[in-house]
Amino acid sequence: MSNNNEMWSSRWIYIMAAMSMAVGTGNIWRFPRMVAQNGGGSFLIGWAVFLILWSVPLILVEIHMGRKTRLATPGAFRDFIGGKFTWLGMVIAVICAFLAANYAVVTGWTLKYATLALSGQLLASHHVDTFKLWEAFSTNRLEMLIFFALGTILCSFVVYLGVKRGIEKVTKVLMPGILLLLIITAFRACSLDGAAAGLNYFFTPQWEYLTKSTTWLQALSQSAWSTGAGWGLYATYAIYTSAKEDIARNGITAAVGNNSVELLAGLTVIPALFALAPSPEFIDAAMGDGKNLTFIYIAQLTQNMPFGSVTGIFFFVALFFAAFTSLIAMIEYATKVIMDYGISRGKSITVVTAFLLCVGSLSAVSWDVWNNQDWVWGVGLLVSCMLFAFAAHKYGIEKMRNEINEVSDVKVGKWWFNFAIGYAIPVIAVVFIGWWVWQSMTWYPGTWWNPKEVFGVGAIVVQVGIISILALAFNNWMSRRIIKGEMSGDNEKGSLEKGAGSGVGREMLWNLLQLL
Amino acid sequence: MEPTAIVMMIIICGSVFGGFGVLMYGVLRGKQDR
Repeated sequence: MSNNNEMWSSRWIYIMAAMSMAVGTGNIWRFPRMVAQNGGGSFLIGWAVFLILWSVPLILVEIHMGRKTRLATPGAFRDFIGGKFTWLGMVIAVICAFLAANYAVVTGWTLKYATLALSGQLLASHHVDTFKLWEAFSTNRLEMLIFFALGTILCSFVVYLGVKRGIEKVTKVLMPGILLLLIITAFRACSLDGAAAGLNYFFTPQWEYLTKSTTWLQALSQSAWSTGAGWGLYATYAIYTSAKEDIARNGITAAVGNNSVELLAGLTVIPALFALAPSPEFIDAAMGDGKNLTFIYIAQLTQNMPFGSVTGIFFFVALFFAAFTSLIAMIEYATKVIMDYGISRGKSITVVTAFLLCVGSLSAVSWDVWNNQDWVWGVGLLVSCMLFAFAAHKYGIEKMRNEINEVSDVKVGKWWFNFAIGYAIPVIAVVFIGWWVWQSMTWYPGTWWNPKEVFGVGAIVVQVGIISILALAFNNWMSRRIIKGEMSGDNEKGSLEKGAGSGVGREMLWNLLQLL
Repeated sequence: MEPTAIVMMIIICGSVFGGFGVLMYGVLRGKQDR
C-alpha cells in the first residue's frame, strides 16, 4: 500500500504548526517557576545554551528523518537504520502516547479554567477563593473526567479531519492567537506598578547559581521538555512537508519561536506576581508548583489587577490554546503510527482516542497516577532523545548533516551538529537520567526500587521496560507490516525484511484492526 | 530597574525575539521550495 500523505499548504503554516506543537503548558507555567527558583538571569544563560546544544540538533534530526521517510518513527527507524531497529521507533511512539494520555488531563484543566474565565466566574466581583475553587475542581473526579474527555474528543476530532482540514485550520487561528494574547498580557503585566521588581528578579543573574549543578540540570529540563525535541513530534509534522523543504531554518525558527512564547509568559507571570502579591511569602508559595501557580495564584492575581478580567481571559484562553495544540500533535503522531500499517485515518483515530480515554481516565481520577505517569514518561522522553541521537549516529552524523545542508538556507556547522549529536547529547542524557534516578533514590531511601512508588526508579524501569520488551518482541512483525515509505527502496539493510514467523498473537491483533 | 537587569533583558529579549523575527522574516520573504 502506498503512502499518500497530505501536505502543509505553506512553509509558514508548517512552522506555526511546529510551534503550536512545542508551545504548551510548560512554556507558561513551568518556565517562570524555573527562572524564579534557579537564579533568574543565571537560569536564562543555561536555557539558551541548551537550546543550541540539545534542542535544535535533535529537532533537525527529527525533521530530517520524518521528511525523508514520510513515516512515523517506527517506519522511520526501520528505513533509516534497518528493520531490526523498528522497535526503537515504536518505543519512542509509545512513550509519547502515554504522555499524551496524561497531557489530555492537563488539557481538561485548561479547558475548565478557560470556560471559567470566559463566563466571568473568575471576576473579583464574585469574590472567588481560588484555593477552594481549584481544590473543588481537582477533587471532583466526575468533573475532571468530563473536561478530560471533552478536551480529548475535541482534539481527536481535529486530527480526524486531517492535516489540511483539521490541524492547519486550527493552527492558523490558535498559534497567532497564543502569540497575540501573551504579547498583550506581557505588556499589561510589565506596565503594573511594582513590575520593575519582578523584571529585576527575572533578568538579574545571581552568579552563584551558575556554580550549582541543579541550575544547569533544570535549564536542560526546561529546554528538553519545552521545545519537545526528540519526542517524535517534529518528525511527525515533517512528514507533511515537501521533499525540498528547508530543514535548518524551519527547525531553528520553530525552536526559537517556542522560546519566544516562553519568554512572553515569563514577562507576564513574574512581573505580575511581584506587582500584585500581598507578601513575599505569597510569591514563594506561588512558585512552589506549576499547577498552583496557574490555577490558584495567577487566577487570584487577575482579580486584583485593573482590567484583570480581560487579562485573565486572555491568559487562560492562551493557556488552553497552548495545551490544545500540543495535544493535537501528540494525537496526530499516535494516529500516524497506526496509519503506517495501512489503516485508514478514521479507524486509527478511533483506536488512539479509545486508548487515551482509557489510560488517561486513570490519571484524571487519581493524583498518584497522574504524578507517576508524569514522572515515568518525563524520564522516558530522555530515552527518546537518546534513541534519536543513536539513529543519527548509526545513519552517519556527517552524512545526515550534509543532507540537511543540501536543502537548508542556514547551513548547519560541523562543530556544532556533529559535536552535539555525537557527544554532547548522549553524555548529557546519561547525566540527566542519572540525576533523576539519584533524586528518586534520595526521596525513597529504602524503596526507590519499588515500582509502586509514585516517583520511584522502579516505576520507570518496569513501565519503560515492559514497552521496550513488547516492542522488541513484535519488531519483525512491525517491520514487515509497516507500509513502504519514500526511503524503503533505498535501504539495503532491509526495510521489509522477513521475520522468524508471524505468530498467532500478532496475526490476531492485525485481523482485529482490520475489522474495526 | 537595575542596570544589570536592563542589560540582560536587552540581550535575552533582543536575541530571542529578534532572532525569531529575523528567522520568520526570512521565511515570509519567500525562501521557497527548491
